[in-house]
Amino acid sequence: MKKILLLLVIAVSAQLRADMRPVRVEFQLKFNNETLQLGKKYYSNTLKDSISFETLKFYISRVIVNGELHSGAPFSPEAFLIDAENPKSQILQNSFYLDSVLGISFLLGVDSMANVSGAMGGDLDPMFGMYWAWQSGYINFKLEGYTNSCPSPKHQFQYHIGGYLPPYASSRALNFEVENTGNVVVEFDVEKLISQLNIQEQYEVMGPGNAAMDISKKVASVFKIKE
Amino acid sequence: MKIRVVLLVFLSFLIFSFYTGGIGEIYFPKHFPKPEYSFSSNPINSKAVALGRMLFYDPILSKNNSISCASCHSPYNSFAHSDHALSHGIFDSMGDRNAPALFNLAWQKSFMWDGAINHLDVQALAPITNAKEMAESLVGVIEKLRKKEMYRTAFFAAFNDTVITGEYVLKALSQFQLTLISANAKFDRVALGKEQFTHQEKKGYKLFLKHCNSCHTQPLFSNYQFKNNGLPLDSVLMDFGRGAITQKGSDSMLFKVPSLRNLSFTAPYMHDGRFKKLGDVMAHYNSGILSNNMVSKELKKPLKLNADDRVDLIAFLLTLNDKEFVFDPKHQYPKEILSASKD
Repeated sequence: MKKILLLLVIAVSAQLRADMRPVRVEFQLKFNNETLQLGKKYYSNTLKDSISFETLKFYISRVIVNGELHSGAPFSPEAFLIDAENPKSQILQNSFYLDSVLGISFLLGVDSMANVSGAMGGDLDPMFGMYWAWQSGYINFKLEGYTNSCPSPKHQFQYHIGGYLPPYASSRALNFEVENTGNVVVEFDVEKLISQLNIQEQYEVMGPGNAAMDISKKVASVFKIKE
Repeated sequence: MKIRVVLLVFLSFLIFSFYTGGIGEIYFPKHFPKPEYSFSSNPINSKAVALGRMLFYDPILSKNNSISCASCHSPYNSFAHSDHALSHGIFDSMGDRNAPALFNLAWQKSFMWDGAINHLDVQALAPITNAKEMAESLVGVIEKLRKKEMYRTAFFAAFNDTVITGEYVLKALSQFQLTLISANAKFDRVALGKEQFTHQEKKGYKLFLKHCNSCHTQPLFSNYQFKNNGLPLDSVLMDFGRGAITQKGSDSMLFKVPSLRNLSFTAPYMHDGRFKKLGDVMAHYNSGILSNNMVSKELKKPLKLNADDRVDLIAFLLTLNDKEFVFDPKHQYPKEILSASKD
């Protein structure tokens, strides 16, 4: 309630400035430049095999868009859960006002503070299946699906990437310059991640550790700004 | 215009802050240290405590509505699981550890024998989702709760919101568990100058301070750190405790030091419940500790107490039993659940 009121005040006061215009941030999830559809069979050039996805969800937090006059405009202190199943989640809802857009920075995952603060609400509610039960901590990135290249039961692969304690803190800070001055569109092409993974041998990563650290870096490398 | 908006916002803030302030149901014993729990992010109110108590005793938290928190955390055992070395859950599945007693949770930094859980709020997720315990999901629990009029009413009363969320389920469970404060044993009455130890208890207290207090630190009777107390590894369970969580060799075979409060109610003892009686525990510390370099430094030297000393020490340990806490009707089964099972 308090937060909504605060946002209202920010929104109202921002609107009063004539030189400001609304900024929208959108995440586009893709497979080989095509909009990703869960359950659909794709052909992966890397695997030379078909592949389908059941889940793609990840947290984005500490989103800051940099404009010319204003160095940063944080959306909200909380995290956003981007979910391939829910198109609404891919457009960050709290729009705000800036003079221009020169860059964007965000954290892939949830920051360490949120990991030790108990039960949280909104997108951070543990009911969304992005919180480990057996050991405290958020899952920053979740990718699940099927491919015959995977020797596991049902040929399933599951990557639950998380961990907040050093040396296995797996959230990744990303920073991009933005060419256009309109809306910010961040692309995530899953094929570009699959091409970096060794899905035939490492198809189940479900806890903090070296594997999660390695994959989190690869996940971070896939994000790019739409030209 | 601007002034009006500011005024409106200010007024709403004012009203809101009064609304959630509430009157705490929690007391902090004078002789206890500062609690660890962040009460500001989950302000105690009596409606949320009552809701948490209902949830704690309601088997609705399990997949087939058969197991509640109280199945393994019985109030009459100081919220531990009596008679069972390893606690059992849904479909009589045998768990891997002995369910620990629940009290003074606001003073603990981590939960579980291996400290895998970093906050009381998220502790309940582990038993709810564990295949051998409740085998349910948080979403599954929420779906069931949303269908019950009684819970819709109780959640609204507790959190002033028409939607039941995972955050509220977990926070309500925390609220009830935070009221489980054990601070009225004979030891506490002596500490507050209301009563006196007997001659024998006094002798036992001296021995306790010398041999036990470094880990089972008064007045909580644990420092809640992780130690290796020289138990041989169970070759079937292969439980490496803290080491499995931190993936550090130096943490292998470390388990959290349990509080000694209410020890007569919480048998069997140790993370795997291997000791049935207090005497077995005493025998272990007196002469049963393995001698290797993994054993924590506090236990490198065997106790070697004589029979008289052992009796005196036990006499003191019995002053840590808090009967008022164990039999407190406020912590027991809430009758509201019975009426709920009808709708």
